[in-house]
Amino acid sequence: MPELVDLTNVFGESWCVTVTDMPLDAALEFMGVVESVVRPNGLAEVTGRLVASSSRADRQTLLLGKETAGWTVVLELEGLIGWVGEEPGLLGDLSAGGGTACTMRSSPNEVAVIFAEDGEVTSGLNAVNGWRWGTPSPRLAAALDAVGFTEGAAAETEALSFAQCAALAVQAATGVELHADTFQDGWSGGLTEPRS
Amino acid sequence: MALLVAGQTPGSAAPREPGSGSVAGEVPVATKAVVGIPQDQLDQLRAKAKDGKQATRPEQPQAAGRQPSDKPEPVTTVPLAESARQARVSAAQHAVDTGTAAAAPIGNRPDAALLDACFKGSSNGEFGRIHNRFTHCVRASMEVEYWSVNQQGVPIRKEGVTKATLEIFTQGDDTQRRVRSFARVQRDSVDYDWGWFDNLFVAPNVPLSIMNQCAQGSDVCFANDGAATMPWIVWDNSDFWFHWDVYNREESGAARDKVSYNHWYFEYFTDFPPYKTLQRGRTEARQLRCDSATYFNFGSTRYPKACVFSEVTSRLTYHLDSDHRSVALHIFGAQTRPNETYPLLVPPGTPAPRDKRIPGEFQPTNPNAPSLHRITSVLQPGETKANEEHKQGACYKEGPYAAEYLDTGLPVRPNPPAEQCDEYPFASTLEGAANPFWDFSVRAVPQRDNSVAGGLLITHYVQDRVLAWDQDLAEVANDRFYVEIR
Repeated sequence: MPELVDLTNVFGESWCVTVTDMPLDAALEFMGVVESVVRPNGLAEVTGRLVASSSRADRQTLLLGKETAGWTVVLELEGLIGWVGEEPGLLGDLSAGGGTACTMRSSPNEVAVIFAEDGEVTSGLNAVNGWRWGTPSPRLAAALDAVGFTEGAAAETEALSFAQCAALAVQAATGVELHADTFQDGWSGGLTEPRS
Repeated sequence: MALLVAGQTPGSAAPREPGSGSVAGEVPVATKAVVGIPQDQLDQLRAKAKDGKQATRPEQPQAAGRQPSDKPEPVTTVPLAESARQARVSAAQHAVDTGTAAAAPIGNRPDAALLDACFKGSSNGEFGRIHNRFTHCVRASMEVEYWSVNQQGVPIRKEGVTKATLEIFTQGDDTQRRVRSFARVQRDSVDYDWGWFDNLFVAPNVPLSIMNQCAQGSDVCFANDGAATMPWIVWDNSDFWFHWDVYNREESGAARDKVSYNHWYFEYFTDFPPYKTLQRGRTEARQLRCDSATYFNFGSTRYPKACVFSEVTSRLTYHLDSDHRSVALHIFGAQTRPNETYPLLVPPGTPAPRDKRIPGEFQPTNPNAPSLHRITSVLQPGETKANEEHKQGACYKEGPYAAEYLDTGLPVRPNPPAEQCDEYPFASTLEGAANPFWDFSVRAVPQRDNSVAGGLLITHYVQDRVLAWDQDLAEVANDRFYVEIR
């Protein structure tokens, strides 16, 4: 089985990934993308924007999405105006109607995951030390327990990097296995509407 | 500097050996050039000028091959820690308002926007301006004394002095251990002080050669490309930028990130016959730090090697009037009123034994201000986790340190997901919450503010090439940065 992706190894210390059972186009629209198109060089595009700190000027973020195993995965690498996928209201919307959505994110100071179920954010965890907050559904709680996310992290997660721990938590919540090839080019997406 | 024959009887002093303006072990300082021309040759030039026959001069830039013997004795390699200390002192001495920006692509011409911004910014005389860690510019003074010499090559009379301003613009590379320097004589800056006839007919036609050098031995650094040579009058009327590269050898680097320092400077001289340089002129040397750190990314693009200007203090700026206001306000309070922050040193009602000490405040003229040192979750997972656990205890009174902060932690915990626990110094620093000597501060901040601040932090780490802590290096040799609140 392919190894769980270590996004810090791929993208450095700044990234945000949202996973939702909402279809790709709808998810991107919910997340504020004005026009979604196929972006064969999406990663290079976002790198160019990062180098120029474009989002600080145009107040937009380039979101890249793709579908995998029936779920939508949205990648953000521009964190200069805040992660779109981390906004509680939005994440709740992405899980509306009995659905599930979660976002794992990294900054130099933290690697964390938040979970939304049936329309609202219910819980989260710190992927560095395994600390959990909130009130997840019994299903989600059991899934996280099963892979070792208890107080201070358990043996199963000790062998993984912090970024892999985050991917493991997302996998437990959604069943989506995140591997390195998921994050290669082959994206659709676009710029979000300008934000204040 | 001691001039060639200052204070000595003309005609009797032995000429200074070429390239001897520095002593081995000392970084070259700015010096004048001294050039000799045989008296009879000079007389011939004047005679030709009177007859209306100008001396043949190169109309196009002449690229001379780089000659190892032209370079003065290499400066002794300075230990890493001492180089870093020198950089700190120099940065404090020459502090101006600088910025942070990604390294610009390096081409055959200077980056126009950076060039303009750099030269318009405030600068420090011959030190110039370090516009950001990848960009430096300076308008350096050049002065060349021209002496007639006898048949033995002994200077007998100072015939004239030519002065000008050399514009130098240098870009650090974020893909290899190299800087590229662009140089030209500032238009209309050349001033001839020979005598009225020579000012018109001799001095402008004297060729001037310019090239850059690295100060250390070839085991540390090397410069490519030879000198560019044109008559003074052509330099004075040309806007063309010549360029040279100085490379730092990775083998000279130390420790995990193969860190190495070297100096570079420009030389100017006239060795085009019949002129012979007795002492080359030099600009003030600037210091570079080069590394091969593997943890710098923007997106999927890595930047595994780079050279930056080290004589500048790295600082991250957060703004009070911004989309990360709460974080800026928190840090401002921690830096200026640490005793009013949580966790308290002792429970309420108990006299505190001392003031809280929280490092990282930017103090531009103090090279010894307590600083912050970056760590990464990959290189320092233990410290990273310990910082998180102390933060968790102080903010939420949970985790392995819950008891320690029960009475001193935040009285009202943050309310996720709308709020997050912000900590300062950052969890990504050695001075974070688990540091046994330094204190820290936590506060509940809005999720969005914290998210923006995190994005600005990683951008700063990459754009300023802030190296992560290396325990195999002395503290003074490790990179550091500060936080400024505006």
